[in-house]
Amino acid sequence: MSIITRPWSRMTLAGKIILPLLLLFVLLNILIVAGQMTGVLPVLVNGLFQVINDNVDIFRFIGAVTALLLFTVPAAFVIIFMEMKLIAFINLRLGPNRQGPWGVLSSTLHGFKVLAKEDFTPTGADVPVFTLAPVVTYLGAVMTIMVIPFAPGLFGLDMNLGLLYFFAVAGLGVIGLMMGGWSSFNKYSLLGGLRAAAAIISYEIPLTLAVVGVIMLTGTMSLNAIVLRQSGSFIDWFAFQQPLAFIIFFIAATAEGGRTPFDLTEADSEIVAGFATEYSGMRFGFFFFAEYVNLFILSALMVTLFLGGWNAPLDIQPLLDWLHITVNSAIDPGSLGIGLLWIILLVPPLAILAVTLPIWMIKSKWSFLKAFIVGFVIVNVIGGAILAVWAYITFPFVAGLFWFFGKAFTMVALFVIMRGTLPRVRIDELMGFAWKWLIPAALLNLFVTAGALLVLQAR
Amino acid sequence: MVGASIEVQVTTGLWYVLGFAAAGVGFVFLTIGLAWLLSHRSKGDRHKGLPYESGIDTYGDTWGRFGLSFYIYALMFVAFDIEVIFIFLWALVFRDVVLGGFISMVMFVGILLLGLGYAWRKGVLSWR
Amino acid sequence: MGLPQTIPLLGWSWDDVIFVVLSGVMLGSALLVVLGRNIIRSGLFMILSFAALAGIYVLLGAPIVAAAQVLIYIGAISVLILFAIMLTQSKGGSAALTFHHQAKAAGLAAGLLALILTVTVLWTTWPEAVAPGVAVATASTVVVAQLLFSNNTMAVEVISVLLLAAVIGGVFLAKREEAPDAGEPTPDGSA
Repeated sequence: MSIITRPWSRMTLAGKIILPLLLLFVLLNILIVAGQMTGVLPVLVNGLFQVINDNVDIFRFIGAVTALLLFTVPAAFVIIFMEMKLIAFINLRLGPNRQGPWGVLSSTLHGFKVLAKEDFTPTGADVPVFTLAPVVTYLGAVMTIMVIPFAPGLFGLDMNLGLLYFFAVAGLGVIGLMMGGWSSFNKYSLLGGLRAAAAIISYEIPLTLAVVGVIMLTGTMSLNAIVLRQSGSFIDWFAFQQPLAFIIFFIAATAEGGRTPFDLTEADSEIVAGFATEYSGMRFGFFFFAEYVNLFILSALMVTLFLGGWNAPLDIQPLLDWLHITVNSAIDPGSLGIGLLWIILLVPPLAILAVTLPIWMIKSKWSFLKAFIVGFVIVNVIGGAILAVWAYITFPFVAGLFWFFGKAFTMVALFVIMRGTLPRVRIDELMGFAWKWLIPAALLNLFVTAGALLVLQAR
Repeated sequence: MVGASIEVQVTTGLWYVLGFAAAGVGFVFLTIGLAWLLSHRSKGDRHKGLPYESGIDTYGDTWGRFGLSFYIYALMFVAFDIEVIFIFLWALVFRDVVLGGFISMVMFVGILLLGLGYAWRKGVLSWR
Repeated sequence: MGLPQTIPLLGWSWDDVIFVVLSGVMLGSALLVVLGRNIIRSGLFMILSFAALAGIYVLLGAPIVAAAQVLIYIGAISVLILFAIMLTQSKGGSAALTFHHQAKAAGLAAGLLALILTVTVLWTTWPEAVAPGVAVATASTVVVAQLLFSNNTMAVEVISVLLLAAVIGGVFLAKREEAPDAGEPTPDGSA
């Protein structure tokens, strides 16, 4: 027994993780080969495909739900890291720089840290309501993601009433905040919850009214159809046909997401941390998480409605035609057969060697290992770039995802920059602005759009 | 046949929404449960469970009452939220109802704006 | 190897499962609203009841009504009621709520209402549905909207007058309430 345990105890942590994985890999390979030889595996695989084909709706549902729920986690981590780094840049600080290169792992590690934190319930709290509050807030944020089209053919569900569904479900978040504020048994929590709810419901009206112009132009509430109507170049985006609506929507979204300059909900100098004062551990984590998911979703909705969704800003096809460039995207990897395996196995090592050897010869001071690592990185970067370009051209959904996330994260960056540069408004300014300026402006936009459409139809 | 396909779509949407909600609740509770297993817990003394008020012991009534301002905003919100539903429906069919629809919507919004104007006049919209 | 069209043994369609679950949730949470002693929890159960009712509207082929139900009842009216509760209740207030003193009268009224509804439902001759799908098609959102803004414009205007009355009434009451204790600071110090 000690033959096994002694080497095991001497291994580093990485080794302890890698060795079982390696054994598992070998075992799986043996199983696959054995399955192929005996003919059990093809039967199993065919049966599995048959089951999936028969229940394609159910499997699509499970896949969509899993993908959308799990997607929120990395999205929030990316936004939190972006916020830390960008605000540090604005404040002339370095920001996170220890965890991973440039600190890229810091937000992820923060997330795991929250998992290990004590989740404390205050003595006076109403425990079931206290626990359910972050759940409701998170649900209100995450359930809206279902109707947002990420790329051609990539969406949770294309509803006829997509926009109405979005605003209806987004209203749940308010109830979560009020539940959290009430159940904490803390006057600052209650005040923060009430303030948050009052601000959010006030800004929900201009937010929804700003969208009406887009509905009028398209005649549909399905977000997919709205994106399709904006295809073409960036001139066709509704931000240019509905500029006032876009500005109103942006301002209202800032308040809805509780972002500076409208972050009265957690004005820590006035009401500690608002509704989340008494929260700790993972229950606080979900409030925080929901806030960033909400920020992403509001950006995504803004992109979908006003900035063309997954459409590219310029259609490059005419340019390619004019230059007589045709991209043969019809490479079918399956047709290569066993040759594909050899290419995958042989080309990368040969390419790495081909890059490494010249470097090693020119930089005579470098050891071979150093030159090899540099060559490995260079080949991977080039190969990754080529693969990305190929995927972009071949698959419309890759191009769609690229533009969608590019635009959405640009909007998120805009919110972050606003947080870094603008001061917080007072609560009376906050509430007055929504009712006295934004709602009349949104109604004006609505009737101007209607009048313009009437004139256009009359001609 | 068209009707049948619409019905299928609507109930599919219901399945999706309910399933997504269930999955979301499950996800949150799984994570909270995992955190509960991982984290340490200590009882602490009496002060640990007290409401947090920047370090001093709590002062006064914790579930105090607050001003009426919040309530007025909620009331206005209800009125305008109902208005939003009608405006959405109107925008959806605007190309079909044209001038008649336009006038009726101007009246509809105009009547509601009277309410907003009254509240504005009375100074309720200004936060106190 | 797909799922069977109906539930084995019972012979129900799968959508009936949603109906049973949703109506169960709706009735259960509605009972908890009136039987619970914690008024905030009553308010929250009411929201659950509203949500289940929205689901039933979708099953009945009226998604626009369901969306309005969620948007208005859950998003707005519940918030209004929660505000009202949070503004009036305090820890020092009486634990027994007002409507607990009126339980008998309320029970009587509910029983009477149930009786009237049952009689009405049983005595009305309901039009036969041609097929499950047709009724749904005619109730689609666009058709509802067209009917609303071509033939039934008057109803829409009446609704706006009703809303105007509600807003003016609320504002008026709030101003009058505020008059006697003006100048007395509220706990949030912003008064």
